[in-house]
Amino acid sequence: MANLLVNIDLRAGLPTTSSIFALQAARSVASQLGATVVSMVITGPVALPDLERLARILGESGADRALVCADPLFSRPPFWSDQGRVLRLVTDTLRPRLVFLPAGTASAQLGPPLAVLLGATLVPHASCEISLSNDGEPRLHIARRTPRWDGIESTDALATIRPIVAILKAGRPELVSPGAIEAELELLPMPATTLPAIDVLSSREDAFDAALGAQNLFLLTTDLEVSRLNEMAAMPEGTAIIRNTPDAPASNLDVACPEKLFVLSEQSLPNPPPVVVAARGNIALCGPRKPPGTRFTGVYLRNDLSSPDKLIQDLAAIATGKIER
Amino acid sequence: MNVVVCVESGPISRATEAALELAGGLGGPTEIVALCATDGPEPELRLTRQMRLSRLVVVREPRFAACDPYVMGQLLACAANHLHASMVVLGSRSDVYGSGMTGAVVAKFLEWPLVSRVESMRLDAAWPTAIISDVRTGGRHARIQIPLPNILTTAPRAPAGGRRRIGTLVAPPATEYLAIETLGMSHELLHSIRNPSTEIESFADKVITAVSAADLMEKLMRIPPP
Repeated sequence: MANLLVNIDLRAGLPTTSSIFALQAARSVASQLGATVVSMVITGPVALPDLERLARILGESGADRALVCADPLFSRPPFWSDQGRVLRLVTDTLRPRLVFLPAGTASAQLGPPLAVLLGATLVPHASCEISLSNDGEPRLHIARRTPRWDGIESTDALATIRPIVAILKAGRPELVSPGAIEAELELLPMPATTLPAIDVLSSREDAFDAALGAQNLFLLTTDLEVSRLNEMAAMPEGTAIIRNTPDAPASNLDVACPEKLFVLSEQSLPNPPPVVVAARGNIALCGPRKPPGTRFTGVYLRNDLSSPDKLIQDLAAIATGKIER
Repeated sequence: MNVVVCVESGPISRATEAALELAGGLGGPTEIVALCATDGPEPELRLTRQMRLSRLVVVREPRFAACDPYVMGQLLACAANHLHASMVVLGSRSDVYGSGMTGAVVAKFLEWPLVSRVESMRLDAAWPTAIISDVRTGGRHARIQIPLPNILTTAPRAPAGGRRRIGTLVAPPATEYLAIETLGMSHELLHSIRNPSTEIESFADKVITAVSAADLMEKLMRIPPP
């Protein structure tokens, strides 16, 4: 496996938490298998100092190389008709056997057509783990829940015929020591395309974006006060709280793909609650068996919201894993 | 304009329901065709009046169960061509593989633009050869104009407030059957390309309900380790 490609999703010029997590996962795999980690950044115009800062962050997170294609076209939200042309150019050159995409809505747009372009198998909500076979050969397991939600489907990426495009689950990146070698920066030209253009008529910040990359995700189906929500948002890093509203519907939970999902409701909802049923197939509630190398737990927490202070205390305790008996 | 909505065999998913609802709401002179390729039971459609389904077309082939998304996608692309589709709509992960690749394969074979997980769709009154859709991507909630023909996938819809709203149910149209030979697709393509290195380990899920964090942690600790 010569090249392991990681597509990087940016917010305000910096990689998302999920992107850093994907990059670190790639580094871990590449170090054990002797591969090169190539990060791919497709972005609007960037000033040189910002590019250098980006290369440093990517290098610190595990990238050997940082390929950057910057063009005003990429200032708008990502679609395959735009970004696909760059990914085609890069994959034609690198011929990667394994591509990691970070959890997020951009990967939902780019992942399926990228997999088809490579003739690859697409694994959404993936986790990865390396093990040794009985004869000492390494095995790279790319695992996910089965579509029927009754098992774990694990593919040995080193033995499979097809390349693999894996959209990784959200996770919390490890802290990195600053000052590590920065990634080798390479600027790519803007390739031509034959696909008809998609026009972006308007766009605004996605209210659901806060949930992406969260390890612990609390979904509220209640009318808790916004001030209380803000208070909750001060919980530990890796925790996000969203409300099931038309602006941030729970149907997007499968894109967020947290390690732990907590659904909070003051009502007695059917078990499991419908908002989770909508995400079923992608997020576990709570199971005794977990995918290899992951902690994958979701819980439906019915709470008495008449005492919100107690609720906030409880949520923070769950997020940190510290419970006072 | 013919809109083809790809539907599953047996009970359909929430994403496919969303596809049927969104296609039905397009307005204008549209004909909505549900298309199913299966070796199993016929689609169980719970159609509301809003879904406006005109035809239900089934391609029946005993070897489908062994097919992979590349074969299925190519077959759906051939069928969409046969049905003179201007637009193909699919649930984002409604195929049996649950990976979300089928729409991308259809898009590749037809060479049409693909947009995943659209939340709405309507015909552009100012430019009737395009669709206006809302979609989330890259941290933005965008309203976009997609030229026709195109491929769109839909995300499963979660009912607000915990209850699903069902309109008046209507009977589906009579099933029409399409022979694979009429689609110009060779039987050789249907040979399975199974991945020999994929293993599946089964387990049963269990939902935990708790009334407080302490209660929750206590119940979690009772679960035996894997």
